[in-house]
Amino acid sequence: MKIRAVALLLILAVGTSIAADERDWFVPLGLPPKASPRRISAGEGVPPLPLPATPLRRTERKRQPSSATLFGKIMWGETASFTYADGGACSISDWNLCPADLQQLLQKANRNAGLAYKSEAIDLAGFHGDPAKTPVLFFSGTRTLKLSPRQADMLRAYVLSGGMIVFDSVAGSPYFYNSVKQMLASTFPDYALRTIPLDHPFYHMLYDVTKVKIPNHAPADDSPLDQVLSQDVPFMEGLYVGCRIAVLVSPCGMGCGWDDHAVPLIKQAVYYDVDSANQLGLNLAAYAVGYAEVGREESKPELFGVLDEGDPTDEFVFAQIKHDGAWNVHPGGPAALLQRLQHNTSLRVSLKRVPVLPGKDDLSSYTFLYLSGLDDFHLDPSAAAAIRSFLNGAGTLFINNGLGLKGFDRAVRRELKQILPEASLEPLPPSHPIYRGVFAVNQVRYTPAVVNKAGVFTEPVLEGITLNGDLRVIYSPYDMEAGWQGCDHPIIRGLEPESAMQLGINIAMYAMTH
Amino acid sequence: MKLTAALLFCWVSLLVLSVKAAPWHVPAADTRVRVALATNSPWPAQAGYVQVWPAALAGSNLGVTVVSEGGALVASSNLWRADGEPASLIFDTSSGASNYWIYGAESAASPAWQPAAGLILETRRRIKGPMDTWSQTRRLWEDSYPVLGHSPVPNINLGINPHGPSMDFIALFQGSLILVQGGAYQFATVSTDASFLLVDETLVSQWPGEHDAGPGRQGERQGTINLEPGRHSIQYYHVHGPENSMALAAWKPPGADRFSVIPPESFAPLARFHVTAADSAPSKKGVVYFEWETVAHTMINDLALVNMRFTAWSPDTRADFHWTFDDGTTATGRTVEHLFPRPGIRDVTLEVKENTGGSKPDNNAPRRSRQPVAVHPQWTQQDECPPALLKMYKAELAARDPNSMPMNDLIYLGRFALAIEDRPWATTLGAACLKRRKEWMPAHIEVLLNLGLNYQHPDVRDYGRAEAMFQAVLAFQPPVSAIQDKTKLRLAELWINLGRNPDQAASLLGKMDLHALTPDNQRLKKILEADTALLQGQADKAVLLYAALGNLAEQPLQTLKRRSGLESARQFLERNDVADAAELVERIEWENPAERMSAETSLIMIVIYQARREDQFALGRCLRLLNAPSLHDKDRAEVLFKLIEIYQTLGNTALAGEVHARLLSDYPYSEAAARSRDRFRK
Repeated sequence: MKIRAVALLLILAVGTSIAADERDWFVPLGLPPKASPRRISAGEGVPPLPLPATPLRRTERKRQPSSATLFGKIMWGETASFTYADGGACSISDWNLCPADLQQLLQKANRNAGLAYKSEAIDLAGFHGDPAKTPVLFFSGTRTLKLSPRQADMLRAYVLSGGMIVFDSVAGSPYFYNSVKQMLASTFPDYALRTIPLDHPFYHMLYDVTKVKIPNHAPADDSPLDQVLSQDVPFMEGLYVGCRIAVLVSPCGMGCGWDDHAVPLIKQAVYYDVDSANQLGLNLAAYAVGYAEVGREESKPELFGVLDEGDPTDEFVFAQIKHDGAWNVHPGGPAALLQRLQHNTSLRVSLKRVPVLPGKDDLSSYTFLYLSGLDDFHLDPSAAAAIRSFLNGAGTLFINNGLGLKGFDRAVRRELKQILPEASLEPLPPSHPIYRGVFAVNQVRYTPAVVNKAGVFTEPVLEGITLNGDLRVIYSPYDMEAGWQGCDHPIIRGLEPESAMQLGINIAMYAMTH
Repeated sequence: MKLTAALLFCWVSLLVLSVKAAPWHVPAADTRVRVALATNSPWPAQAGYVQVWPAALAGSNLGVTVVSEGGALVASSNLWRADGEPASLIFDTSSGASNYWIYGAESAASPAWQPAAGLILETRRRIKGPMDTWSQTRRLWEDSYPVLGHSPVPNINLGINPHGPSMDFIALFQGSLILVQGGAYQFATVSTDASFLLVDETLVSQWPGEHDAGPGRQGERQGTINLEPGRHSIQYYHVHGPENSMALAAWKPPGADRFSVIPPESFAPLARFHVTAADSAPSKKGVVYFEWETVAHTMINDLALVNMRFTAWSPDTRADFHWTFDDGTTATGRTVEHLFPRPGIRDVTLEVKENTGGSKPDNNAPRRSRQPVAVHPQWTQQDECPPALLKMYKAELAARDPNSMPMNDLIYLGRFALAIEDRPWATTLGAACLKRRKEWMPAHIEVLLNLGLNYQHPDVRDYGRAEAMFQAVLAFQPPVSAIQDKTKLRLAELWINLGRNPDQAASLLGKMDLHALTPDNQRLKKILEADTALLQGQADKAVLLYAALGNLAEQPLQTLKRRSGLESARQFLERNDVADAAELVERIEWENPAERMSAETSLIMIVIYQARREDQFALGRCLRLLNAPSLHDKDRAEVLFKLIEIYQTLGNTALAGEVHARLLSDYPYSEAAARSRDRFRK
């Protein structure tokens, strides 16, 4: 594009001081305005002939189907006017530098996947904060994002009640990206921003996006981000609430690609090419739709308890290990299992799960420990020792791979080596008594993502470590907890709810009776 | 006021006297009218045009004879005649006379005089066929049938068919241009779809094929022909499509700088005449001549309510005019308007009784004419359904007693009420239909089924009447199998929705011939069989039946679409857009009927039923869902909570309490139990 910015007149609503280099990123990123089309015809200048009237027909009233809202594009920052080299002018706003991004993306989502949605512009000052009405908030920008404490609090409440926020650093601007990270760190201090692994459902919702193109990307430095982007793999960061990505940050621009063009006017822009951006965008739309219910379900308040060590009971207690990774993967899942356990067995069950920190909390009162996660996690030596002691004292550890991701699988095997250096996970044969406890689980049903990749198979897959002749560690590489929770988790590698529940009950019963 | 009445009386009396004074020129004629040149008519002209009404004749058999005031025969021809319609005729006015007698009698013969004046439009119902060349379009014209009408028009500028529905017709304009200046004339056609313009039988401009009018509006589709001053024939053919379409002919005469629509004054003039008096033959003194015309209509989905005006011609202006219409209504007055609840050939009777004013004994027997009248929409009315007219006509017809109107009219109004979605009116009409079931005919049955469906609409919810209507349709003899099978489906569906009579529903579904149903109804039958099994508690059978209808192991894209539908439905419900939510969920359940066992989908449907106050349907759905296999505990708790809400709404507090106790006992820590506790605490 040869058009070059020659003038930028800021009409600042609020007086601010902006670094000169940041101001260079404040340019229009949509397609430049077109000159009015000139009518060319044989009869130019002659008024058209008047046409006769035609009937005004009424047929049976048919309602026009309306569209639900998927994205709310947040209005933030400042507005200015911009003049192109050819004299054309336009108004630009921080929040809307590429005005057609969402509109174009949603048209493609409708065309390619039958997802009929609309977007709307949202002023945070009047935002209702209800994810049921606006499932996704979308921030786009190039300059430093500034939010008031009240606005940040509102975003936190929105996310924790099931909403999703997406930040698109539309031209790959470090100013926008760094300010977003800073804002997230202060607004969500209890949630860490993590790299979304390539086997995460996000990258496979509609398209398998494991390779991308980032045009003209010249690494400016040796930052980890630059290194990743040089490998032509997608890079997204996310903040998990439960198992879902509640906040998604794309440091590499997507919006212009959705509008089917490159990022104009900014030489140092970092952005996905049109195809990559569209595939990622469509996956984003699909993910937002697919995980909306999960968001609502996992935002419901849950009953947690503490074990009264002064008054030990013979109840089955579900003690769940907290670790530095995403440990609480499917809030509500364990509670559902415990209720079913109470209904279907003669076990005395405490319906409140107990979160524990091995190495800090006393594990001697428990017979059952549960560990789950989504990606990498670490146990410090004291935690590993506490768990080792727990296992040697006839306790049972059940590990569930939330979403069935490889990163967590690697971490599990690594940490088990730390806990039990001499032992390793072995597949449990179909004849193992764990499959015969309460339910005879000869066959199970896996989620479509498993079946579509591995073909139809129905054998239950569990691995375990036996100590002194007793099975003490049970590991499910396929997610079982999502099934306990009982709502759709598209593209996860897991078990369908009924199979998950039956296996879960058998495992709990096995832990209590062995 | 009194002065006006007196003047009118004098004028009519004079006319009557002039009629009575004139000799009867055509002994075989039954009636005659006197016609005079209309004000503002083109004049002088070589030919005149007039409409005359058949008096006590069907219309297609009306033969006319035109004579001058002195009794000389005048050349004429029928432009158009049809049953129940006034006849249009053209006659020779080259004598310059401005008054004529037109005699009418029953005759199939039609004089074949060819006038060289005016511009006449003929339209025909269009058959399917190509229109990409002149020869194809000419063939299309020749093969198209029937002829819808002929009438004079001022110029070639047509967007509405004056002879019938304005869609799928083919038009031909024929006439003569009178040119005062010779030279190169450019002619252009502007049309949607094919049009061809011929001058002196030479193709001058054309625009074949299917297209919009826009690209020709500045005269782009043009041709040039050199013409001498004088008379030249012009023909213009145009094919009108299924949607709104239009055509016009424009020209640029020598010296003009732009195209304009060919003006009316460029065509050979055709004078317009109108009736000024009417009389019947001495042997037919009982016949009364009257005219009729369509005033306006309101039409939706090709269903029309038509308002007509009737005007009687009688020598006695003080007579009593009594009109009887075949829809069971009457009216009085020399001129009356009447709203017909159904178009078609309707029977109208006019009775005229002389009013002696009590000055002398009334010895004359009343004169009476019974006339078939074609009731059809006012084809040239641009707005086919003006809201004000719809409101007025509906109010007038709703005030008529549905128990006494002809059954065919009642059924037609039932269709109309359903088309405009006036549920209360359709409910009233349906009730009348139920009362008059002995008058039902096979052609009525489908409408009766639809009136039955109206009773179960969310805004009506009269399930008892719906069932009664369905049962009555099923009992109708002789059998109308196709409709009755549909009715069986609907009755079974009603029972299942209400959670009642599963065994009867199963039996009804079992009595149907699957192969006689449409593919959609075949699918509905299978869905209902699965629903019945679920309601009967046969979960395994239901699973198999649902599985046979849809893909239980969905592909990711299908899963996503389903999720999208459910999420959108939730959002629609949030903003109280119940109709859109229902449409989405119903589509999901139709495409994958196994969703009817899914807690998530069914719970949204239950909320929709509740929002539409269809609590009995919501109850039926809850009862079915509780029999679904693999119901998650939180969902089962939610269904129990819904049952509590529904029982309370239906006033059954005892059952609500029982379910509440069960919910607390079985799912004490569920969100549903917490909500139920709050509800009962209140």
